[in-house]
Amino acid sequence: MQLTATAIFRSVLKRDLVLAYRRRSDVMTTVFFFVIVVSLFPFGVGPETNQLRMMAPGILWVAALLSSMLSLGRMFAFDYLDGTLEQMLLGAAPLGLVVVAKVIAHWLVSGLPLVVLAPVLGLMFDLPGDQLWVLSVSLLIGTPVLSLIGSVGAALTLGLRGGGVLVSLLVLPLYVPVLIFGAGAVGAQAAAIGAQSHLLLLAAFLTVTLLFAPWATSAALRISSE
Amino acid sequence: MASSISLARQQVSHSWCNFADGGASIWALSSQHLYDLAGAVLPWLWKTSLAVLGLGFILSLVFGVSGLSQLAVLHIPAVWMATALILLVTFWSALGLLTGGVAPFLMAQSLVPTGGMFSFLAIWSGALWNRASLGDWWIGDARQLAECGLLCLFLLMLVVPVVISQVQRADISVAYLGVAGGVSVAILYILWGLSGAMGFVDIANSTVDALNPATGVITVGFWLYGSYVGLVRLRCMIKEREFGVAATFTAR
Repeated sequence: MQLTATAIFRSVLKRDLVLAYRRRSDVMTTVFFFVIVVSLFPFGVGPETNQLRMMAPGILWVAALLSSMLSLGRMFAFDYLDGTLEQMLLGAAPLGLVVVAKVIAHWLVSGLPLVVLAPVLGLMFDLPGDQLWVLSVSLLIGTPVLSLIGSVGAALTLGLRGGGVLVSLLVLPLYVPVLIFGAGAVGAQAAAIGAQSHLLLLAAFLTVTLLFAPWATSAALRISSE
Repeated sequence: MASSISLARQQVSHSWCNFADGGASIWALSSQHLYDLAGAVLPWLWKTSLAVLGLGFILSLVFGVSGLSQLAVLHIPAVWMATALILLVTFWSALGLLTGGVAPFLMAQSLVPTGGMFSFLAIWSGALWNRASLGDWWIGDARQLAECGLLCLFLLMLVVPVVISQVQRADISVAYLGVAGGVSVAILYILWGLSGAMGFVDIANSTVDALNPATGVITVGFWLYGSYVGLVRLRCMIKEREFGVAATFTAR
């Protein structure tokens, strides 16, 4: 097999997806967590529809954030433990490319299910159709940003005790702007202002993190593996 | 006396861009240089900051207003200091991440506790001022939310190097938090400020104007105080890293 960029990308992506499929239960726990957290809120705040409808974007976005954070440990930890990460660091493939492939695999497995499930759960909060649509689009643009930002945090805290909480400490402040604009997009749609500016800003976040996060992650991986 | 400690070895570079001497040559920011520079400036700094703060206190009595609204003279400079410090931390963190070398990381970490203190001061003085002028502790406007966000960010930057045991990774993690957190705070401040939600306008304008001379002087005093404390902390951190914690207990 030739060592072209697409070949490397495709093989790393395929490997990560196959490994995730073998640990299906790990993957499904994050999705179940999202569903359960979102379902708890109507029980907690009461069934009043207007209140639920106003809170829905924030609840759904925070739940998506938390489940993204939960699944971050899985990105590099298994490879670090069995030595594959070292081989990736020593190998001829550019580390940034490998990281992008791993992040995309991570997003396909833990971010994309959230995008698919969110409109369904949004119905539980009586969100109207156009807001459900904006919610899905904002999550579609926002969850890759969460995976990318989280990958830097996961790489920095690789192998340290304190585990998932440590990644959360590092990564939560960086998630806040994404949360604000993601939930704000749906809110803007509800207020009939139009969600375009929020969604465009989210897309800008995605572009910038897509540019910088793999670079930062590969540097962090090198440092963490010393 | 400040230069009597010679730092034996250069710090190892662990950056994204590798300069051969760890980035020290760019800004003359080797630990030895920083230690000496800080030591030269310190005596002047603490005397001036005490003098300016004293002058500010007297001015606040002269231009004073009745009741708890007087706290505006503490609150406004504290908010400005907290904001300025987070932007400074972001700057030093970015510099450290880009050039390598430890010195910018040390500068950033030395400012974090002071920033936390000022944001804490801003929160409670703001709450008391709100109570006095608007009748409630917590209004939930953008300014109070921003103050709480700043405090949380500073606390996180304090906790992370304690939890991460490896010094290298701790430095980079704090820098990462500093850059991205500071950028988010700046974005939010600008957005909220542009939308007019910052809340300064609403609270008792006449009170704020009357106290202006005192507020300005106290801001300068806080700035000098923050620099002094930050530089002392910087020197302690340099000594600690070179010689272990016991060295920080010896006379300066």
